[in-house]
Amino acid sequence: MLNFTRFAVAFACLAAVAGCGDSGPERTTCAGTVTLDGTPLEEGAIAFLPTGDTQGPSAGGEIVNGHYEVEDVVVGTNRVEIRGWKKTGRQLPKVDNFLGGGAAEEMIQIVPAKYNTLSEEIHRIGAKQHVLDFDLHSSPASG
Amino acid sequence: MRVITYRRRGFTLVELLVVIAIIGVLTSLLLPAVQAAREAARRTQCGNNLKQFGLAFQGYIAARKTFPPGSCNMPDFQKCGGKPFCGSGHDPWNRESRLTFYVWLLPHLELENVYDEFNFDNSTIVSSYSLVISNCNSRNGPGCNAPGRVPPTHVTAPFFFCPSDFGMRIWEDGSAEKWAMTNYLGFFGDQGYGPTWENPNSTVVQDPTPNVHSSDSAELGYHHRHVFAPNFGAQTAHIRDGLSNTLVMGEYLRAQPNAPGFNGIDFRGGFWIDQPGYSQVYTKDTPNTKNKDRFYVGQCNHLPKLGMPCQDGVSYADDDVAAVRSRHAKVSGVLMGDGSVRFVSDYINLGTWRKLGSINGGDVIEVDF
Repeated sequence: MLNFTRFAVAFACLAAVAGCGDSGPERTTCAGTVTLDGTPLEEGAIAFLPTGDTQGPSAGGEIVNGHYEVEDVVVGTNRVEIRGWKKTGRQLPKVDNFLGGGAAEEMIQIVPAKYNTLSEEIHRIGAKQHVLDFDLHSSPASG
Repeated sequence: MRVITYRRRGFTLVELLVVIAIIGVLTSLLLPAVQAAREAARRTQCGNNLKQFGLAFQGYIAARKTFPPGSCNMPDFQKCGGKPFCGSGHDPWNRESRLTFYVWLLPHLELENVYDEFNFDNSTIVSSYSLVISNCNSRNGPGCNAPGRVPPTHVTAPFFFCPSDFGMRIWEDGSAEKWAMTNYLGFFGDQGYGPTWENPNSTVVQDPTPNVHSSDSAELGYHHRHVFAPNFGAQTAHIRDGLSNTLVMGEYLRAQPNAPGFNGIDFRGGFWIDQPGYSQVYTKDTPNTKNKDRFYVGQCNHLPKLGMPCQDGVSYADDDVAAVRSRHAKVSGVLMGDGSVRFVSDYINLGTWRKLGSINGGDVIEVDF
């Protein structure tokens, strides 16, 4: 019995060391809330792009009802890009210069450029599970 | 006298079960190995397909010392490889031609007959769109949809498709509209749709992330920092980072008609259209990122479980983008400017990835990627 236990422990260690996991840089899971002018962002996306000296692939995920949880965020300095979408209720006509573009409900991006294409959100992500909340403001005055 | 009786020795139930269990275990060990070998073969073929495009580019470059324009968009058709390729000037917002670079590769892909179906002769706009409407001014007939006629935009070849992917090969909606698809798209930059064609009304400005481009390339403008842009194909002399260090094409995943979540309209891989995810990929994100690609509203299906996250986003969005995606285990095939094919890890550094995308950043790729 002792032998079996020993063997099991040794095997578990081996599995852990030999790596059933992925290779690459150290990564963590990031989660939190996103609000725009105080209201939770209903539908959106969040991206973590390693920047500066931090090396690694980009990570990202969806924002649903103001919450997000993103796996595999590279530990270190990341540039965060946040986008949010809202349907306007307006029906778009069939677009004839697009491939078979059918009628669709218009959708607009509601998060200002300073949080996505021109993001100023540079965050240092620690090695442990990281909680990061974002409180976005659509006008510069309130930002 | 002793009588020795021999009893016929059979297998007990337990013995049989043990043997079956052992065989089961061995098979279960073997099967993944077989599957992996099959995928490895598919991946090799997938890379070989990219190589075909690489040879076609080399053929084109040998003749013209430049890559073909990423797409033909009015009004600046002079940049577009010059006449007679793009017709005459038109309203940039209608951008009527929109032919993508594949058309110029056709003669080098042994698809000269398909190439001849396009009409470059006069100022009539030869739009990839107009090819599906009734009178499309083709060289060989009055209407592209005449009976028995196959519009060139329907034609596919086996090497358009990566065998690891199981997506749609020809998009059709039951009407006359059909579009050939592919897994191999061109690189159009590290931002998104708007910046790549320098839309004057674009709200998307270049990403200020440092060390992507040196000041050396600034003088050329963002439009000319990657192999392809609308009305622009890099000359080999422009590619100062070296052809072997510059991305030309990468893998992408085609629409998945059998996937749960498919709603009938998904155009990913429809390479006759000049938009991200149709004929264009970007180095904005690393390959197979979980970040969503962004399409015109209603033109892609969000399929995260299939590795195809997508936001059918904003109307006329300059922020549209598509990342390289594949079905290989954690790698994606890319074609470099010298015609070589590489497989890039999903864990490549974003900075390295973007440097590979630029043609003249003065970037030295110091690490193996």
